Amino acid sequence: MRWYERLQRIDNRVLYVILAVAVAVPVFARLRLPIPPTTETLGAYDAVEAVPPGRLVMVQSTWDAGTIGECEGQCRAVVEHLMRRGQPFVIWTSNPASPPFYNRIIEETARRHGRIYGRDWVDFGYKVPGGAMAFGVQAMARDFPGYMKSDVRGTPVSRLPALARVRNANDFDLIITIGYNPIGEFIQFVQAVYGTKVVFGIAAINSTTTYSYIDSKQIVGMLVGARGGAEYEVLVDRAGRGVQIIMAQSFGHLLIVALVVMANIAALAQRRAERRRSG
Amino acid sequence: MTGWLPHPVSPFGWQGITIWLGALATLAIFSFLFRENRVYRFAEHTLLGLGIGFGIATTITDIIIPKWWTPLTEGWSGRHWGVVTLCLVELVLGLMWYGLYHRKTVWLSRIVMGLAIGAGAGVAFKAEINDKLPQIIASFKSPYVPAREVTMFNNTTSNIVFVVVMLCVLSYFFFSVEQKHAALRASSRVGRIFLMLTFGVFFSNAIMTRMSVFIERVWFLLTEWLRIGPGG
Repeated sequence: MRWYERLQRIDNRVLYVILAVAVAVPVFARLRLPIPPTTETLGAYDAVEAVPPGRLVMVQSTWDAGTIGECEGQCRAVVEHLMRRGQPFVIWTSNPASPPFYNRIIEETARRHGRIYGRDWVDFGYKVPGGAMAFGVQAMARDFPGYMKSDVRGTPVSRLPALARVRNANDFDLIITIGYNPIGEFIQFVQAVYGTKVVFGIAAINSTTTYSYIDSKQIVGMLVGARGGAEYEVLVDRAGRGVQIIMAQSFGHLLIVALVVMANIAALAQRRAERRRSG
Repeated sequence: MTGWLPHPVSPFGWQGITIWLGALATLAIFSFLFRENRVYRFAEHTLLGLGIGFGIATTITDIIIPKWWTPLTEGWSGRHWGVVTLCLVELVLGLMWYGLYHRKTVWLSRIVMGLAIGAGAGVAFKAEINDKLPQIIASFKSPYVPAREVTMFNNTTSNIVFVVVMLCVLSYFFFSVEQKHAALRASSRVGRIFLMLTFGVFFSNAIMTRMSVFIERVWFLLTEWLRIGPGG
């Protein structure tokens, strides 16, 4: 077998092992590459900075074990930013598997900044099934206390200091959704109707079609996958999961680019050899 | 030096058990990369079972009980007959879905199906207008932007590129007449190239997401389970 044939028939399992080794390099070598923030990440950061002190932010989280790699960095950086500023926020989910993941981050960050549950943040847990988002988001936007009723600890909304004056979506200055998919219902039924600003934190795979929302000013910022999380972590000066993953990802991308180039060289060499043989 | 050698976390204690279970489940799922095997299938079925079971349990505890059972019982004890009636109507409508499982009662499910489709279509209509209309309006871009109004997304170069790409791609999907005219054929061909570029971006973003998920698991195995690295 010639070299170009051998190169095109490398066993997939060998490639998987090489990829695993490549992404593990940053574990052993503490490398730091520059991570300049993109416009969409800056938009998200500036939107949080623009919220007046004491005004409420809504965080909607749908990420879970399957999307830790993409969304944990985003969630950690956003919660860090909100708690550092002392910006009260409510958090809820449409994915029952999400609360243990975001709560771990919130509790750790709250301990560090001395934030208190009920005053600085409120968790409503699993409130709207994914299939009923359109109806749930509309009802919530119209009458927040009436729809939510009580938090995960069973405390009625009226007894939560952070939500003392909350009636509807007008009482939220910003909505941040973090999860694999963009939650379009916040644009369709909240931003369009109440004018509340929206920021998306999504997996990179879903970002291609979401950029148009920035152009049309339907969202003010977007965190794109682990990269968005890493950029936000740099902005809040607290490097974490996002930065770690983006370092490893750089090595993985370099390997993929090298493999694509090698495979193309091999394919061209094979084509040239076949042409030479045939005449 | 021990930080650079594998010294797995102790499997005793809650945290240790959690990490060991996570590591074994990850390895079981990754074993599919070698070949289809029983360990992988066991892990896959366990994950599915856990997911469905957890979903059903949380739907009962977090949705059905607070949104239906509690209002019903509180309405009954407080003699709020309006609330009780509403809850009972919800129950009847919900049970009508199960008519689907017998040919004599299938007509019951069609009633609620019709209601659901009607409500869904109404909401979708409103959603599409609120979602797409601002984007259509935003697509009317001026090919010239004065220097004082220039932003990242609104500048002369970007707007010209945007308009050209949009017209070319639209012409590719223009099927009302046969694409015989040279200008239409050319713009349609350029539109196809732009579409290919977009699919390339889609694909590279898909790789990026899959890679993040893979990296997170590799790092979990190395740093949390085997405790390799400077912090290990």
